[in-house]
Amino acid sequence: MDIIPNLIAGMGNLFQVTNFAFLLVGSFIGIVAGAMPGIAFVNAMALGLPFAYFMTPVSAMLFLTGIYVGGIFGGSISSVLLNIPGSPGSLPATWDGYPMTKQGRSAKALGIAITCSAIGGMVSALLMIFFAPPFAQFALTFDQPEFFAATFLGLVTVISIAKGNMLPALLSLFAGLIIATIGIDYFYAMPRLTFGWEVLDSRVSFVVAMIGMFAVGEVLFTLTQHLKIGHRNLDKHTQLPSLKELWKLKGTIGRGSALGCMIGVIPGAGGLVGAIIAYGVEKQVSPRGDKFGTGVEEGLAAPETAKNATTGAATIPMLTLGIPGSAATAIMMAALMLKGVNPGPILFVSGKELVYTVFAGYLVANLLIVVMGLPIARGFSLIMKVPPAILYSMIIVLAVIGAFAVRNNIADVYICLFFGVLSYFMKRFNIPTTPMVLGIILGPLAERFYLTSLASYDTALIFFTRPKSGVIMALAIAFLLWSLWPSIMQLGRTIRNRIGGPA
Amino acid sequence: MVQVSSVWKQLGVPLLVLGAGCFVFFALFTDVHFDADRPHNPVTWPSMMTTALMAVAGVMLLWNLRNLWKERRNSPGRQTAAGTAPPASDEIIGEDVVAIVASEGVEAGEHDNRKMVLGFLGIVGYGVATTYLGFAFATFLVILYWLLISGQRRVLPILLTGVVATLVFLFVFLKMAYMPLPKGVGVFHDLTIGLYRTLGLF
Repeated sequence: MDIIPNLIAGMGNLFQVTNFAFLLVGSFIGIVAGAMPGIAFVNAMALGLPFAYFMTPVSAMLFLTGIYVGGIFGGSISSVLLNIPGSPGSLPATWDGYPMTKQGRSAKALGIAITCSAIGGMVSALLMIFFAPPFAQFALTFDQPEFFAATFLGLVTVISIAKGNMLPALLSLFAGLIIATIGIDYFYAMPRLTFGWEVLDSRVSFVVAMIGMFAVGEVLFTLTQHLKIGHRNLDKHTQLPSLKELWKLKGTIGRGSALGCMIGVIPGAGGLVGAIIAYGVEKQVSPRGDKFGTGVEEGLAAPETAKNATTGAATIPMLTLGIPGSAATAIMMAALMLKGVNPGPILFVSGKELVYTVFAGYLVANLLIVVMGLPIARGFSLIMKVPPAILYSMIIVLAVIGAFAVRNNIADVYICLFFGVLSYFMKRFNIPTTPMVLGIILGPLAERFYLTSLASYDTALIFFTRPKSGVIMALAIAFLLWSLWPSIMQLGRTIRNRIGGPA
Repeated sequence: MVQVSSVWKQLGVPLLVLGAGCFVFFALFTDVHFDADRPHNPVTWPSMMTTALMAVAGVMLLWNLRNLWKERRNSPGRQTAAGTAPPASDEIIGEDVVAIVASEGVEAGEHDNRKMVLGFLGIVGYGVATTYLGFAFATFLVILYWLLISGQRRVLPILLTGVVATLVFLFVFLKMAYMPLPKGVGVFHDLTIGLYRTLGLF
């Protein structure tokens, strides 16, 4: 494995003026979008897609990497300063970050958030750099049943993450899988569920659906809410922790990085799950655990580290198998496919330059958090003055351009707007939208791998009898049981109570 | 008392999905022509997914009926919160978090259905306007519309935002990205061409 020479070449490629400029711009947009309540970094990534059309695949990926890495950190700025998580993963940062602000220690809180996010992200990027190539090499030995098993694992883990909200998540996932079957069937060239509309023959583009759900739907949802941000005097200073202070947090940062990396690899988990688990673990482990929630440094450092540590790890399944496990990586995959690049193990053979430049981009984007996070945090009160109405009207226009640009077809604009309205109602009824998007993306893959496996091996048992696919299927079943375990336990308790009578 | 909106939320969604599932089955088996003797055909996979969707909707319906029954049994006075499912992790930025942090500088509120209707009209209108008026005019109008329904009332900033933003979009996507954005039909097609020529975009 010649990882180091390839990485050096990737670094060289990254520092070409255009590529680096796109990473820089992406990071800036990501941090700003992440910091603004109401605009998640995923929305910013979806809106970044139309710009990918006039970029090279490398530039497009670096641009989106910047938004992803910057955006997942950016949410912490508003969490710490306003107690409003700018992105879902920044929710735990409000628990100890905002109390620090109330104690007049916002500069220190921001410094910890910036440094720990950058360290977590760097660890995750290193994991990706050294783990993804051998994994891709291993994935080259996969046949159709293994790919189906991996896709199945992706689908299962997406729903298993939605603990406590499993039925709506399943509903969303299966609806997405059905939407993915609309259009001409790959095997028999038969139109399915098109109702005679020729525009549907070429299938529903997942990029169009994604833009509609993450951009248009979000704008509609925010428009109808009376969300008013209170004005307050924000402390504009940021104070990076000293090496001595960082050394004190070494255990917290280590645990946060490890947990973030582990959780990031699980499709569907993402920054929020990583941050919450890291916070919970740190609360148990830390000698000051009982004081968590009152402005304890460890309580802020742990989730911040873990949140950004999910980024590189989450990209591994997308790059190595072509299976995105989150909305953010799905958008990155969409950008690659728009540029005619298919992610998967072959990419590590035929597109080394792209892969290693992206790896280098992840490393540098995390450094840029430190460089850009400081001035953006200082100018945060200025950012908050931009009227949301202007932003939302721009988002709608960009969404329409993005949808149109996929196939230069006005029908895609209507489909995008339809998904925007659908997403609005799903949010109103507490049905998560991400499983549907992943269903639309993974559906065609799952169908293709399933049918080709059956055509080659005649029996569905092949998924369990082949060693590699069997192991992956076992993992999928383990995930399913893990997610169902609380419900099973609760059912058991209910039955026991019924038999035993009321206490 | 069990709220009507809560009943609708809990029973309406699974019933709607069950109905949609029946419709999908009907469409699959009437519209798609396939050899039923073959073990795998174009409807194999969609049928599997639709069956799974309907099964989930069925379980959801039963579960929510059970919750409603429990809620009714416990009312009045002791209302349980059985109705609403907690948000999924990826949606947590929605109203629930806003509610959590409401005491700290954010006013959380109910959804404004008037704005919802205006938003839908704006979105559908933008699609139709892009087709018939062309991208340039439709974009200018939709920006004005969106600013107005969002509560902006100062005419000059609204007009300036509309003009500047439309010009920037045209320059970036037409001049730089060479995108064949819709030009509209009839007189609007000619007007769009004229505008592009005036701006030096053509």
